[in-house]
Amino acid sequence: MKIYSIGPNAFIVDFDTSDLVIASFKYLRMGIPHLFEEVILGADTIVIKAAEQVAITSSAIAEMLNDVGAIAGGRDQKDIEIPTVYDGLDLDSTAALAGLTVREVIDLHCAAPYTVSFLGFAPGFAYLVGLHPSLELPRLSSPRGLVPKGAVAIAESYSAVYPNPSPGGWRLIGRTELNLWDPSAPEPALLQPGDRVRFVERRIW
Amino acid sequence: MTEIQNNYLENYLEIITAPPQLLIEDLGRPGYSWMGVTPSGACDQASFRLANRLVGNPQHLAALEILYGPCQIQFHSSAIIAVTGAIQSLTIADRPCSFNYAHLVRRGDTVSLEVPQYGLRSYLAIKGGLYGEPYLGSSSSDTLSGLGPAPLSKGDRVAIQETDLAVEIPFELAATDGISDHFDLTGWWGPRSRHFTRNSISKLANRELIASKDASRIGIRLSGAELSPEPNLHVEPEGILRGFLQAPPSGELVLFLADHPTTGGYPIVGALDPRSTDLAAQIRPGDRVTLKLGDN
Repeated sequence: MKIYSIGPNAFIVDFDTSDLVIASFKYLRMGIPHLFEEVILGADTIVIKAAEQVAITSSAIAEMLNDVGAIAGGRDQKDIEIPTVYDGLDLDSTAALAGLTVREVIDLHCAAPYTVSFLGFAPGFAYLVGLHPSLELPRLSSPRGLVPKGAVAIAESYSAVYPNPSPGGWRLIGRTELNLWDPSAPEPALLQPGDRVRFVERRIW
Repeated sequence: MTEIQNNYLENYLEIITAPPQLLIEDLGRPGYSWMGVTPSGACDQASFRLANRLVGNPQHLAALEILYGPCQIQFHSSAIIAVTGAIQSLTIADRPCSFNYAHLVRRGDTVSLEVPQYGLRSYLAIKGGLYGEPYLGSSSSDTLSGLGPAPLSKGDRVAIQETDLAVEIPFELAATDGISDHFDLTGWWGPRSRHFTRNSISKLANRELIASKDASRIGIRLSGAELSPEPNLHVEPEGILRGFLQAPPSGELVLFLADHPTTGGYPIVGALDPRSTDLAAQIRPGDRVTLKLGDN
């Protein structure tokens, strides 16, 4: 683990392995919430902004994170199933590009157990890791102006569900009616870092 | 149109002429970046806070962010207002009035702001604050995700929170200085700058960058940086804060403002200090920018 400061109140923590990233994030966000205005999880990094009036150093953060390995045991990840109808606009072209049949694409996408790596891009948008390598394909060369809410998509090594309508360049393979974003809930984002996810095929809603 | 279409509003203002963008902003919704929610809030927070302090408000109350101009607003109740930010002329009921100062507006008066000479964003604060439907605890308009109150247009009415108009006008409050068509911005290099050639990094301090037309509350693209990355540099998505400088492969720099995405897949090479981050909200397309970044 390496900690770099950018100015007096922002830090980037680089993790060598992804094992402790999520546990460290949860500790910084929930264990000592008053010290930080923002704690942002990336794929293998955490960006930290100290709260106003808080003076903190890289070495102080390093010391806090040293303890995380010991407490990372009893975690609180959820298991979530995402019922999905596989009829996305890019399903056929995705299969062609991957050299697979549509049936194989669906089976590979459903077979994999995924983990929520981090959230970004839009409110409640979770980057899921665990995609089968034969489904790793680049983003669309030109993003769509509007992707509908609930679209199930893949891009590069990630899968995701669009929580709300937005522009987007991922390959749309299906859709779900599961609500991923509820701003009135105590935790607005259904998918939290570390949660385990499976896509389950539904024929029709 | 906004949610505030209450027909029997007692205290409200009405938009007569809307500038290219007119938003209700406060100090944003920090703390939710990790779930993909942009902090948003006023772009030039120093000018925003000043406007609120001038009218005797707590600094976080919702006010108007006025992009460029012209802008005309009619008051349907008496109010104490102050205008800060970009440099432009201000009239109340056709009387010229000074910037960075508190003024009494009478019921029926129209407040007019012309196109600014320099800078881009002005703030109009009203004693008591404006009402905007809160979302995750903030009434700021987030132009990236569309959260918060909708942008305002001609004919919209916005409620003014009721308050006692007696106000002690503070003095000797410092306005944002340094607004012109050339900006000197200061800050620090970041960890990913070591993935760029020393030569291209050291040249940056002497370069005059140009703010491109690609500018919004999300960020500004600065052309002319010509940073050269190591071959095959690949960066996994990582967190973004307001004032961060990102280096996409095009060689331009992207400077993030209030409505930035919460994560991005290009290397973060530096960050501006808070004063320069506020000042950056005043950069217009075509303005010249010099970056003076120190080592950590």
